[in-house]
Amino acid sequence: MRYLRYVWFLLLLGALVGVGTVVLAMREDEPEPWSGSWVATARGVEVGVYPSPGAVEPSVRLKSPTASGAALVFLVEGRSVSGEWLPVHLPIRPNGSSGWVRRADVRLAANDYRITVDLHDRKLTFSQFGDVRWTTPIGVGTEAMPTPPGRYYVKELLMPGKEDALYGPFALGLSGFSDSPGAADFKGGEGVLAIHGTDDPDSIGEQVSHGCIRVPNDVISYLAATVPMGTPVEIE
Amino acid sequence: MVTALVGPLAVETGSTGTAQPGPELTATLAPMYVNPGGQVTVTAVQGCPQPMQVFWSLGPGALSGAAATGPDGRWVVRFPAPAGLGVVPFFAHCAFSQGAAAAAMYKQINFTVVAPVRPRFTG
Repeated sequence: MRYLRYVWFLLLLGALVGVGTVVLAMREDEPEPWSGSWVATARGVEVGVYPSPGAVEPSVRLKSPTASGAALVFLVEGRSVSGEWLPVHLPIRPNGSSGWVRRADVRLAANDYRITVDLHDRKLTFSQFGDVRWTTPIGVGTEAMPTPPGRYYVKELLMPGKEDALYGPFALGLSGFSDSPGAADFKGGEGVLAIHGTDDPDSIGEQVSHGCIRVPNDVISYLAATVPMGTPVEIE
Repeated sequence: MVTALVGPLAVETGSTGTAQPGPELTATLAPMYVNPGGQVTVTAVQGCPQPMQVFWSLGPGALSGAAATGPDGRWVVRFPAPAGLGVVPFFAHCAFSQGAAAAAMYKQINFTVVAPVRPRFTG
């Protein structure tokens, strides 16, 4: 009789372990939510941006290529691209502008990269597949010309020449702008924010820029060779 | 000859890596940084196994083309850089006709399309 008790106990223990294994296996099989984003690139020479899905008249028409010669790209808001309309972030003032574009007017591509900028700690974090790959110290805007926080995206890639050495070997233009006096028209430009290299390595880690984000030159070279246009850049 | 043809910015592809079928062949691409619409030249360092065609593309749904090789299997292709900025891959393989089995594959080469303007960012 005592022997039978042991048998029942072992059977019960075996059943519990089996059930636990199955439950754990099921949890491991659950798909993780996708951590990437969608990039929409203009198909034609112009893309109408509408205030709401189904609107008749666009609120603005954006040209492609842009003034810099780059194909017009948008960062799609959210992760769903079903339906005829897409909510997108816009590369225009004011910062944070958004609208809707017709899906037929753009080509979609998935993107697994993300860049986050911590203004307080002055560091940039590079992520892929939702996992942090590395961080690097950065230079940010001064108190008079601060780097404006917000959700932006990479809209263009430039390769500065020797006459523009302050930008280092590459510059990634962002969808956001600085409105600070002295920054909004720096070098005759429109105050476009960027992540770029530098000819002054000692400025990395400091509050030194007109709003742009300075990274070491090996870092900007890596980013230029890696991130697609449309990569999200969150500055906080 | 290849160096003279493609210039100092040329990058020769490596010859190692997984290969299907056979070892991956090498080619050079120049320039490695190009403006949208600028000419890109790719030159075979190692030719196809015999005179045939080389089929190339810049990825699914992107620009593609075909060219006949020379008697020694070598080839050169030229094409305009795409409008989209950033890194672009170049793929090529040797075959006797479109859709036929590849007789040899070339190692992928990446090049970068950059905007043709001076930066005027906030610095």
